[in-house]
Amino acid sequence: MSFSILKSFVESPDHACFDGEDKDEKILYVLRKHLVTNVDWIFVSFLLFITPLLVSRFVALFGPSTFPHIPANYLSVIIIFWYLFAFIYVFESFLVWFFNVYIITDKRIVDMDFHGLLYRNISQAPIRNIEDVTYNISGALKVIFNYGDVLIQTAGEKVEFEFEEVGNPSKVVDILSDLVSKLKGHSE
Amino acid sequence: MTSNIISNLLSPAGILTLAKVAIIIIELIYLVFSFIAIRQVSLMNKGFTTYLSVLFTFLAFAHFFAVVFLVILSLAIL
Repeated sequence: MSFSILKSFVESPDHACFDGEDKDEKILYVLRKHLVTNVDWIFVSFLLFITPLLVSRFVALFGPSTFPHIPANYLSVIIIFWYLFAFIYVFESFLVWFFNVYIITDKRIVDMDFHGLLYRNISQAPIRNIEDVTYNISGALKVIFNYGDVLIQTAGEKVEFEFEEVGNPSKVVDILSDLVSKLKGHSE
Repeated sequence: MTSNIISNLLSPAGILTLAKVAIIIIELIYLVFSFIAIRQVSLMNKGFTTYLSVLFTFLAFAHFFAVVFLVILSLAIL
């Protein structure tokens, strides 16, 4: 089993499907925010995991008598609770990154947005409705790691799609432009 | 009467009892949250299914049962 699905730019993913996918539809690309955008929550997670160790070192350093005594049973419960909370923070942050996907199929583009555990928004547009595709890369990190926003103008109900902070945006624009011209070329 | 109750609550044993009640209430709220997490993971998996979906579901359930275990442990040892 390969873990290619964990990349931020996945070409023809194996064993992947989305809600509402047609039987004759093929997923061509799955895009996510660039891996670099995960640095903030990874750093917070690291702090969450080492905090109990730092606190215990701090208490040992300054002497237990300096701090109010907490019974061992209470301390055990608090530490277990802390690590469960740290786990769900990591898990939830990872899931939000993993499931916030932009799917390009041979028929349409799909934008799935999950923010936290309580909000989701899924929008889609047929490839034939795409009118204009542009991208912008602004900021030092984005230039260094080659990621940015792809803006897609469509003729449908939702007039603008934004693929935020995807890797290699020029390639994404190229892929979409090729798909549009291929589809419109066939229909004309 | 009232001053007796307040002085009992402010005694070391009273503070520990208050702490126990607070910890259990926070854990019960967290238990509800962990149940919502299971539901949300299943919705996410339904939205976009991959071979990792089983793993995500397993982790969400494992977390929920760990929280259940923690609530029971707290009731038993605190």
